[in-house]
Amino acid sequence: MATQLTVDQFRQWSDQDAWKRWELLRGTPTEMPEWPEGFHAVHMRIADLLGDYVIRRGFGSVAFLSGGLITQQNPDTVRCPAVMVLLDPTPTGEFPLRFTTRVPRLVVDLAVPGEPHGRAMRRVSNYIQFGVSLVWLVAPEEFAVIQFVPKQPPSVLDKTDELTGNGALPEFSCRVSDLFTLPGGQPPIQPE
Amino acid sequence: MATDTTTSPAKMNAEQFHDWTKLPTNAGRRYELDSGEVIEMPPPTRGHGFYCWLAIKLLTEYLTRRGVGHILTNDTGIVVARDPDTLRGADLMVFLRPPQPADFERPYVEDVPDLVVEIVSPSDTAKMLNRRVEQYLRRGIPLVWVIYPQTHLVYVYRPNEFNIVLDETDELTGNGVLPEFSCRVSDLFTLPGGQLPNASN
Repeated sequence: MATQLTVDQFRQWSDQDAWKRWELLRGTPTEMPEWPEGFHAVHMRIADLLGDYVIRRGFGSVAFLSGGLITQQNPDTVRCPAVMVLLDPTPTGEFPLRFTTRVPRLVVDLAVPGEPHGRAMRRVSNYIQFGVSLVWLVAPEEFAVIQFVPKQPPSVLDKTDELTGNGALPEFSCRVSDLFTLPGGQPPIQPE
Repeated sequence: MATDTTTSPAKMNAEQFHDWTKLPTNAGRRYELDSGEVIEMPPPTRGHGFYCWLAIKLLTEYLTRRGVGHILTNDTGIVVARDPDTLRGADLMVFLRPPQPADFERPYVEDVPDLVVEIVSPSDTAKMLNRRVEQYLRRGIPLVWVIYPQTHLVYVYRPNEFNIVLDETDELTGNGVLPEFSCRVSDLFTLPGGQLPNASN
């Protein structure tokens, strides 16, 4: 595709195929890796946990279906993480949340097997550079969360560890294993 | 780095682990120790060896110009944690000081290199990759490079700083740890003569 897309053009363009995930990199739509079986269940579980948290707090929003971060303009870049949590009130014109320049408190992405690590890590770096203070890279096949915060090394959390909001999500707490467990205790993904 | 495969149930310290690797039944196999647990590592791929060579070449040229320093290669073991013990096989370790006779009294490294370099294999997982970086930094290693052959990126890690992402258009420096070191990131992926292979295996 020779023509660079703007954010608005990308919004319309990406809606054409709801089954694929796209991001916009310097005006060029770029397909994101397809999620293997079980990842969608983990995705919804994470959105569910964070949605419950926002509801308990009484304000904030969770974008988990087609939200994106406008991290650069001219040419436009829109990163589309799996989940974003914003704790400030949503401006009227931005509801439901789609693409925003507001800085989320937390961004969650899923580590997809087969995707070059450099690409996944580049996304993480973009989020941190954008001002996000907490990023979780969730690895469903390894039942682990790699936590990134500015000015600190990555922190690998296993299923027995506690996952907190690390100051970005006040009073948030769950076990890492909760991200991979469906109601009733059934894990959505079996380890390889 | 290569991706771990199987885990032994027994918890060991680094010394026990070293003795265990010498058993005839374990001959010819590669292992690391992570929090006391043995992890078997698959043999490195041809591509991995190739990109290690390019990094060694650049760093050797740097140390030769400096006139002092040495490099450990071939996944030399380094103890990065005690109680429980973790011993990793780093792809490359750079020391700015000359080697001392006492260094070779132990089979693995227990002091702190100035730089650790890891070359990512396609089969590496996000968890293992980031765990290694975390362990190196918590050990006090002041500079860690993670080289991504598939995407021609280099991630530069320093303690108390978020990583820097460099692509082929960027310059890679010593970040205050390797004085006067400088190269282009593309040099890490470029054959002598300027060819840029797209080796990813």
